[in-house]
Amino acid sequence: MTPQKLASMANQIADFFRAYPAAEAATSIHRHLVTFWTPAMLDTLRAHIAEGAQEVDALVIQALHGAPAPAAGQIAAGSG
Amino acid sequence: MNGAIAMGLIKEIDYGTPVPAGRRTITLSIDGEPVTVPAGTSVMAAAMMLGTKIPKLCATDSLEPFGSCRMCLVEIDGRRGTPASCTTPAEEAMMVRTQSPKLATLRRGVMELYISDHPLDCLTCSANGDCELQDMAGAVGLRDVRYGFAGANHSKSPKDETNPYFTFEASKCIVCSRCVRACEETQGTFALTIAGRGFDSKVSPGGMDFFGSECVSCGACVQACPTATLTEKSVIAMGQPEHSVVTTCAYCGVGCSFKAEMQGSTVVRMVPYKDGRANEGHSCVKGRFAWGYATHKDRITKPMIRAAITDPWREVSWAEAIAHAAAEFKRIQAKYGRDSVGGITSSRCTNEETYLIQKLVRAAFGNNNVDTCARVCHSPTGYGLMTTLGTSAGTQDFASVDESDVILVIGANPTDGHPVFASRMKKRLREGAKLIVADPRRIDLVHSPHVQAAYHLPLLPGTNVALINALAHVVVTEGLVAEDYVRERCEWDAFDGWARFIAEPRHAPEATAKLTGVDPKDVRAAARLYATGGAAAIYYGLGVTEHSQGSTTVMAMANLAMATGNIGRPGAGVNPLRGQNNVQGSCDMGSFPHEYPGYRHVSDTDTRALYEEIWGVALAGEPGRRIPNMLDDAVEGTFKGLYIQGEDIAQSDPDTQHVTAGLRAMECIVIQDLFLNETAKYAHVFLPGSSFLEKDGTFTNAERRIGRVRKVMPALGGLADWEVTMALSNALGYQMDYAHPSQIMAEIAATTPTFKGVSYARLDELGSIQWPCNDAAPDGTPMMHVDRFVRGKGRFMLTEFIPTQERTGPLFPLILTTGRILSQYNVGAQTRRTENSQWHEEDVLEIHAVDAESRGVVDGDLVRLESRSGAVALRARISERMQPGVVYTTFHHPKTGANVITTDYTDWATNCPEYKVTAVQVRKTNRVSDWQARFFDEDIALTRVALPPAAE
Repeated sequence: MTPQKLASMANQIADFFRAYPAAEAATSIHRHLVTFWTPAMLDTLRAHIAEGAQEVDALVIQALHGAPAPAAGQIAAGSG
Repeated sequence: MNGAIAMGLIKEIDYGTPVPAGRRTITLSIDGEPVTVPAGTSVMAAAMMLGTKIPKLCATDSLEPFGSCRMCLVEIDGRRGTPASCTTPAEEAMMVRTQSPKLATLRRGVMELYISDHPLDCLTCSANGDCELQDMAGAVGLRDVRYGFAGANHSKSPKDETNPYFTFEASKCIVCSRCVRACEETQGTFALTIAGRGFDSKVSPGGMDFFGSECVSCGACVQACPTATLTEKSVIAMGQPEHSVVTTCAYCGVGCSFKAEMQGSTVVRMVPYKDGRANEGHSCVKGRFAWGYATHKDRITKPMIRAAITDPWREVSWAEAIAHAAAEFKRIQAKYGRDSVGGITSSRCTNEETYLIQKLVRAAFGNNNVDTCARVCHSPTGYGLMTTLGTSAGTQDFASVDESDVILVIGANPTDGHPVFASRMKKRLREGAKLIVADPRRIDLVHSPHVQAAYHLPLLPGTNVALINALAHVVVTEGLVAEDYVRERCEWDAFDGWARFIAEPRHAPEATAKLTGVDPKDVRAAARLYATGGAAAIYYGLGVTEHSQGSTTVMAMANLAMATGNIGRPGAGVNPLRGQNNVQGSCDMGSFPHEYPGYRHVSDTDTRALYEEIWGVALAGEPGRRIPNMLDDAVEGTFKGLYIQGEDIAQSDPDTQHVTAGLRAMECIVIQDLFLNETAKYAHVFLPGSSFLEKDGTFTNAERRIGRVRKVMPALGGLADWEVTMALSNALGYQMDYAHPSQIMAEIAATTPTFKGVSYARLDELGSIQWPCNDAAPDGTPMMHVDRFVRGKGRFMLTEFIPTQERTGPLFPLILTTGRILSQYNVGAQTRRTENSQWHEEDVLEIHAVDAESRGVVDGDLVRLESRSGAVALRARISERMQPGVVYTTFHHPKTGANVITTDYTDWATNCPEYKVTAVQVRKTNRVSDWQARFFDEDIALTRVALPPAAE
């Protein structure tokens, strides 16, 4: 699958969980991705992010890197 | 005894009038014998409980008593005259005589009058051997007709043969009104009436012929007719059946129980089985009549292979086809890796067959690349209900609707898609339950005979979440939450967060009206009705799930139901109407790439260890590919081989040109099907499938009801589908060894907690079983979440409305939405090969008059329907059911190519395609589209079968 399509799918998932507090959203997105995506899909998306992809939602990046949640303002700014 | 089943024609007991369910009983005496019956039972039914058959003609226990034929007269102590036993309720201590010289004379006299105006061609009559009139003439000892036959009579009445499946032979009619009442009471269509008065009284389908009338050909009238008047054409052609076998219909998710009435291994007719709990003796035109596809000349009964899809197919032996398929899969896995192949299970195949396919993929292929057609229909139901309630299934049984006070139908068209359940629902609506319909179209249910929706909320396609949120907003802000229920049953913190979220003004009906187009006053009124009108049930279909927010809508509905206390009690619930007969079962059986049977994740080490032990092989612990992922990866060259059982993704899946590009890119596609379907054009191995008449197994319907499918004829291709999968697995080097599907079910029960108590013996004993069936519920579970939710506490989810990315604009200003029609079934592979096509020969585009006029389109014009995915041409039908800006079509005919138009947008959680919202343009045209032109070429080029070499 193309990285662009995977990014778009992941962004859709982020759109749903955005209603939740950022930390909870990131955890939920992470859980959703590992529950339903093949390892290859996750690898492709991770590589896409590592290459500096611009279109990936900040919450998705958060979820995949397992980093602590940013402040709400940061997410809003980065989620375009 | 070796367990042989006594063969014979199953005849259910006819009590003459419905038997009430009440607990209070009364005791009376009939012909000196005491009998205890539920209060409200008629004298006629009470007698039958003793085995005493009171003569009758106009009475049958599927219909309310009518009291017109005067055959069922009895004598009752203390009563004057001879009351009709059908209309007389039994009373405590009543003394009834069913036989006396006086009664015999009266009955004989009535029968004499009937027969004085009835043809005496009994020996050559189509009902010979199955005629209640003949039986009653015998029962009352009629020996002579003193009036002669020369007087005025109806013997020259015309025969109506316009319906493809049954005839109406008016000369045989005794005007008992059973057909008229069946059409009203059982089916709820009101197509039949008694026209004329007195001697001129006659049954009439509204003053026209049957085919042109409102008759929906459900068969209820034919079933109810006591004479030859309404008779199946198959019976007229073949004569009476000699034995019958109870089985389960292979069409929609209602899962009706039928008696296959047979002559040897030939089906004479399919008759709805009264003891079947899903349908209780009712049927629709598909299950009742449209079974001829099973022996259609298009059936492929010999295995075939070819090297390239442009080669002609070559007929080979089973052994060669299986060996070739296995060798190809092994070659591909050796070259491209273990994950380069997968399988697709079918919602039209049995639980046992589905289980074997996922087992083959996981154990023989060694990956989790297995998916099923539920991906493209109800996968959001699974996700949404699992998340909120804890299990991926509807909450109620169908009978629950009998206790509903308010019914919310959203994104479903039950009278077309689930007709037998719709009849049940309409019956309840006629009794006074209130109806709310949320649908872009004015579906039949909105206004039909004696049914009028309290509110029709004609929302714009793609705004379900906004609408349900608005309903919930009203519930929360107007203080209509069932707080005690929520406190006891649900996670309070999650509820509290949800309530604050949903109370925000942006969810108010007045605010969401901009998105949904629905009058806020109606939304508020509908919300109040749902929350305060008594037991409120939600029934929904693919109009909910097949959206980019399908899973969100399912959760929003669960929120609404939990907030109002409408889960876990009779008449309420959240209920998916499943499209295909075994969608529920295929999901239960581990068809999804991320979970084993019983919805247990592949990463769950205990479950995986269990299967590793039973299957004797190491299993992959990460999710495999979903169908859209398989196709995307095929286009990209990393997915190369696919085993497809009973699915036609080239017609049924969205964005056809993307699907076929994926199929063309694969090196080995193995199709197992009844017919050379659209997907088979891209296949390299064809394995003949077997219809539901040709194998044993089980289907699980939308109410989680597991019902037996019983073999009534040998598999035309020689092997049942489960045997084919077993052969392929064995050829792949993974041994499967089952002698009968009951052994597969035993393995399922041994490994799946919710199926623990299910076995063929128990199914024979109970008739059907609703899972969970285990130690806690040995007879199954009609209603779920009764005292607590399966997940413990119900969980409210935040359901923000996110508009689909599919937008209308100057190029594509209209929204296309799609659906089904009564007479056809999904891709039409079955129903198109029956006389059902007389009702629907082609798919048409329904369009509102305003949109048509602005395009210069008149009814019947050929129009070009175009989206960013592709274009097709089809005929336009101006329809008042549409709202301006929205067009609609069905997808039953491959040449229409409805899915050439649909896009690759999918549900965020499950990748269920967004079939229901596509931005399109409509223009007049005078030719088929380029895709269709290519379709017609390839319909020949890719389906050739080589002639066998001439014999020496």
